[in-house]
Amino acid sequence: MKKKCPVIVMFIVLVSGMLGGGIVQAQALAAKSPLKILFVGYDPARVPQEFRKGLDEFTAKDSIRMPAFRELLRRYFAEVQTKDCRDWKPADSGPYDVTIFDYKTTPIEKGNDYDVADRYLPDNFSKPVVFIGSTADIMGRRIGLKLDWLCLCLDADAHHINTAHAIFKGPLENVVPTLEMEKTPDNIYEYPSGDTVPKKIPMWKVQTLSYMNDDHTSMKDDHARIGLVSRGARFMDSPDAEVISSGVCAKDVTAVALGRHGNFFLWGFSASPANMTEEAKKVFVNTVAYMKQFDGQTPIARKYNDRMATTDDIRNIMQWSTKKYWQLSNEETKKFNEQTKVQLKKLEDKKAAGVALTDNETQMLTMFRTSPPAPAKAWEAYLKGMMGPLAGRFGSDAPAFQKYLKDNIDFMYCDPKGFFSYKVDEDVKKLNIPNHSIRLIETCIKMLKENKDPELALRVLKRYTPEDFKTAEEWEAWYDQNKDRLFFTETGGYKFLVNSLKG
Amino acid sequence: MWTYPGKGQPGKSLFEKQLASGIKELGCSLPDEQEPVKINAVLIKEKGTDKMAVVIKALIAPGWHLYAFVPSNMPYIPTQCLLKLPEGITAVSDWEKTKPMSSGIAAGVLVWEQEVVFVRRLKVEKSDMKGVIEAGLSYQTCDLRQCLPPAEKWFNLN
Repeated sequence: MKKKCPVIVMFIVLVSGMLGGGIVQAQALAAKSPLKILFVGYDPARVPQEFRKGLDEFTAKDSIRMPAFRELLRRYFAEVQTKDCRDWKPADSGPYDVTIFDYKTTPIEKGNDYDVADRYLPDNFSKPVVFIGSTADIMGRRIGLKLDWLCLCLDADAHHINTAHAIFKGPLENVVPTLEMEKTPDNIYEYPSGDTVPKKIPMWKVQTLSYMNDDHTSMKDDHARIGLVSRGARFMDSPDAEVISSGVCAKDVTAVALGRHGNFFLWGFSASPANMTEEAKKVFVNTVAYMKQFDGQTPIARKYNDRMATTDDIRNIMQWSTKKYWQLSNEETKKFNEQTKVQLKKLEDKKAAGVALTDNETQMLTMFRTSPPAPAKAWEAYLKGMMGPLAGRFGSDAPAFQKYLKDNIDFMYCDPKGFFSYKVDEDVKKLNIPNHSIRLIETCIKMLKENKDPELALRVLKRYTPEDFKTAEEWEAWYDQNKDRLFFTETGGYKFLVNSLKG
Repeated sequence: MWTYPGKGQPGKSLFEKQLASGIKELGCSLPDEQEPVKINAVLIKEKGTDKMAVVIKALIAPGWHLYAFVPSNMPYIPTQCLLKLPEGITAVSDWEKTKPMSSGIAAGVLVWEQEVVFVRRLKVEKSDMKGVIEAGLSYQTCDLRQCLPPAEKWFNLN
């Protein structure tokens, strides 16, 4: 097809614009964004390197990804380059406005198998990034991103979407997402956050492949990747983070499918444009353009431990420690056992009818025949699991346990280095000031100044700020300088930090 | 509870006795919330014969599980046993595994809780065999709240 001269196209767009013509689509296609985009993924021209599902999956069918992303991005952006992820180095993103990571790159520093993740990015990496799926956690873990690995279980639809967010409004395409009322996933009701969620909720289809469809279009049959959701608990507790959407997955309604932390964006859905809906493609390119404004920023509150407890979790435990949720848990177990029986019967009937079973079905038949059903949990065992280390203190007295958590929630210290550990901070309780309140800092500085229990005051100040001052004067000077910019973050270290974005 | 996963019957032959004892004695540090799955492996050999078996044991922290079977419409990642054999050694069985149970949190999913043992029987083809047997597990563990990123653990067995 003969190409139109760009100058003529621009002229038509300008004239139409002057005449007030509504030709948004033509503008988008003709006047490309001047942003420079770098797409980092597997170059199909290189020797294919296949990985198992769930790790860094890349199969022959994924060879479509880089060409599909390049084609979509070049429709909207004047300069789009691609790079094989095995070759990318941090400096390569320097000349570009936004970098998209479809697969993890080569580590720049090895971690260990125990508690230090491989490093893919320097701590001060300040170029805007869009991560596709699990790349967010793999590459972001070492630098403390909130875009962590709650579950590699995101399916095809978004829900609880902020449709007023900028990524739906432009700058490249204005998208009014088509929302369909769909049945709320059952798993949402397994969490207290699902208590107020209606039985049907509006959903937006992002991609055409779904692993949940038990048919030949399922992701697994097509070897497509599964998406990532991050923990929603206290995600928004710092001014550098925003949640735009949750999505259909195996976890709670607060799970983050689309979200931003500093200069990093999680596009949790894993389909390439070849399997995205037309609306999703437009929102994706808007997202890429949206991230340009975060050039030069880095996250303020770094989350280095994805398994620390938060007060959201403590509130969940309060509700889970009731007979209502115990019964629900056993009902679910019973339901799953029944469903397994039904599946077994179907397979046996199919085999008896002489119909050939697939490999997957043959494996299912063998496993289902020999595996015992999941047992119902006794109330005491269930409660003990919920109470954790506090089981010794409260035994089977659920109301006393709930009251203890409720009465002390303002004084709870969730250890940012611990693994789901929390305890009452007796220092803060003694002062009777909630540890999320700035009054705690003010009071402790005053105590230090007046020499009233200075050891406690200093302990609290050091525990709840990143500073290590010794004298009341130093603390006062720091506080006076930053008091209007302090915020409390749980996931960023369970302390007050200074909002460096605020002037 | 520890269960013997082998097809052979403990006590029936010297090697089966040796294998049962090896499985039982294979030490594994206790898992915790930081590392919910702890794994160890050992090579059991019958002296003077060509019989060997790789044993892998995983201990799983309370509330956590490993996946034994995942239907295609579920996102979880099933456990895979990994084995690299040097020249001169061949596998003479499939992996024998502790019997899994139905999952209480997803339909059609089978899981292991607390402990799982994997056994694969081998035969030495060459008596002067050199090299190392590499064995391990590729797995994902989840609890009610979260699923951790998939992990892989290898052991060099001499």
